[in-house]
Amino acid sequence: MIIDFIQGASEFLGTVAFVLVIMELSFLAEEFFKTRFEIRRGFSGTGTSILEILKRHLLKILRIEGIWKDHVAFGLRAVPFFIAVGLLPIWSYRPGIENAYSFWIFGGIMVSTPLLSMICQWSSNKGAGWPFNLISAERALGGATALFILQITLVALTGEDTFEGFSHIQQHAWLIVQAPLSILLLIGFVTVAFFASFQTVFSKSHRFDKKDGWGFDDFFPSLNRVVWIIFVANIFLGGAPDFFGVGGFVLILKCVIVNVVAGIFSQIYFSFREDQAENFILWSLTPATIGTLIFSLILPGHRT
Amino acid sequence: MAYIGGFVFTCLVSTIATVWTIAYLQKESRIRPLSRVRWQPPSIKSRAVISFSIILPFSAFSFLFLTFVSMKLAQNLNLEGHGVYVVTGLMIPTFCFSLGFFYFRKMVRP
Repeated sequence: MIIDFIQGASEFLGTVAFVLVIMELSFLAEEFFKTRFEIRRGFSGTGTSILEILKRHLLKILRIEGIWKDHVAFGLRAVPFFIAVGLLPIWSYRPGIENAYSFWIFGGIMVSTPLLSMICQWSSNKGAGWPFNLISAERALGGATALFILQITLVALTGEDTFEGFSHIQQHAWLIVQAPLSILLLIGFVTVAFFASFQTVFSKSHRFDKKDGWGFDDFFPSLNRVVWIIFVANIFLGGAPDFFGVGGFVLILKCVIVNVVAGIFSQIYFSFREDQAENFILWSLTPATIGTLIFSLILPGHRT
Repeated sequence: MAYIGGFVFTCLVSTIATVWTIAYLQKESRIRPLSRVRWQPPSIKSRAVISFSIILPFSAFSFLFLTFVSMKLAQNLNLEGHGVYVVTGLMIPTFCFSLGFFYFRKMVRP
């Protein structure tokens, strides 16, 4: 029992290292390219090297404020996200937390965590709460319809509903190669991820209605987005390949590339207002996903 | 169970300890901010949006899940050549769902 407990603890440390590496590398690359892009438009370019950006991030982390209650709330909010990552196979072919319903649990965690967080804050503050938490909960629920349909479509397309199963079917080729129809689902999942973490594509990202000062609440949108990107890389891009024992590092590279490319692409080409974003998710993405679901069921043998 | 317990316990302890340590260091350092007024969060008055948001995704989920089970069976029948049965089996739920969906859209879309 103690050995199991220690194994669980070490699995968490591996998971958190994996997430933080992807997050920081994505931040670095995204900020680096964004500042380069700004230089072309006449920005002076001070502090645009990778080292300068890294230094700035470290300083930002060291400026965290808050009271004891905030820190405990942060810890409680972080647990479901790390459990969600633990369900995914990251460092190797096998997931850290094995479960026969892992795919559904993952979706449930990602939808319900912001909602539970808001309810907890609402009850602990006697009916009050920061708009930041309310928006997070609303967005998680607003994207849930599309998310459920995307999940069902993926299961219909592949016949798998565990992350271990998804790894197994991608041993020789990525899912987007085996089933080109899944590219639509990939775009759908990335859009839902961006919507749920209210970043880039959706214009709310630059004005969080929250308390003053820099705290770990600012960390959650990025954490949410990274968890979704790890999910996407696992499901559609082959996950961690069995490649001379460095499959985990290959997966990190995939996640960073997808995260940065999707972030920059969406920032350059799209900027939806809050109401446009909800319209897009509910009235465009959802019918498109239902269409994909019907196609994937009508055409059996779609996966080669 | 002990495995997940270890995972969750370590997550809680390490995140709280890390955040507390950094915040403590910041509080004691020279770069700490000037003392500021701690604003209380505003009250949340509307529960309608939340309840509406819960009803819509979960009703869609239950509908599609129930439909999906029969569709999965129909897919096997399609392989066996019962094409007409499959098309009918797919058309009826799709038609019903589309009817409800477009009516709903007409009613609530700004």
